[in-house]
Amino acid sequence: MNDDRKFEAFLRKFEPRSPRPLPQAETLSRSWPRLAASAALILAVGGASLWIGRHHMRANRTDSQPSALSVSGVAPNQQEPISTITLTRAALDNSPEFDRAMDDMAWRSLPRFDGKDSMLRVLAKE
Amino acid sequence: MPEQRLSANDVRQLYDRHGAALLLFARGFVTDAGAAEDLVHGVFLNLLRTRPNVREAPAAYLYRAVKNAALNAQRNRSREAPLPDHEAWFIHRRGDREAALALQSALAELPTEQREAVVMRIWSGMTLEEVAEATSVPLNTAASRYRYALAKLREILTPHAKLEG
Repeated sequence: MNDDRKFEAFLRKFEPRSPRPLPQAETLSRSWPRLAASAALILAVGGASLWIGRHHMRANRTDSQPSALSVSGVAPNQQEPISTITLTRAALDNSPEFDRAMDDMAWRSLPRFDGKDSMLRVLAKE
Repeated sequence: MPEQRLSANDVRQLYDRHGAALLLFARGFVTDAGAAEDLVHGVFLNLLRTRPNVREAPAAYLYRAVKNAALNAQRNRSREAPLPDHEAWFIHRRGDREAALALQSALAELPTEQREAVVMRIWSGMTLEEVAEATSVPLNTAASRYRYALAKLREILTPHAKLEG
């Protein structure tokens, strides 16, 4: 009996290798609300960015539309670009107004040099 | 009627107390260390998820669960080539690796019931009554299984035991 106890004590000197720590199971099982919240946040941020982007695009498009021309034969609020035929007729019929229209178009279609971050200013700084 | 379910803290305490012994027990069934460890983890994770009513004999439940999982794994892996197991089962407190390997092979050769009894008693610190309950056998049977196991281990390990004094 005493030998048994001694041998048991001898066996207890051998330690079985411990398994790796148990994963955080509760954390895993409770993580779905956090995941849902993250997904909702991503959707909200994505939606807001999309809305802002579209809003800006619409605003830019409105800005870049040619202004109403008072060239004869062209409606004042017309949004479409002026056709070559209309411009030719305007040139023949009313050359001062044609010049004004051309100036206006040039102002809109050519890059602006008076902007704060215009290419010209950037190059001038360098 | 008081709440009999285990808390997460209870499960962690059980893991700290029986994890190593259960891993040792699982390695008697499953050839590679990683698979045995996964098996033990699976049992504890299941315990955390389901929190069964096992407060009275949690160790018995754990050993049964590990044994069932190990037997299932054994069946599923029977067609696969066993992976070589390079990792030692034991660490000897004084660094006697030879004795640790001798114990490993002696334990591996024991019949499952005897190995189960000796692992529960020595490395899980269970009483013979608890071993009997966990293995669903009468106390006498559990005690004789344990004695047989001890005798076989002593036969193989006596030289090492004598060296230690």
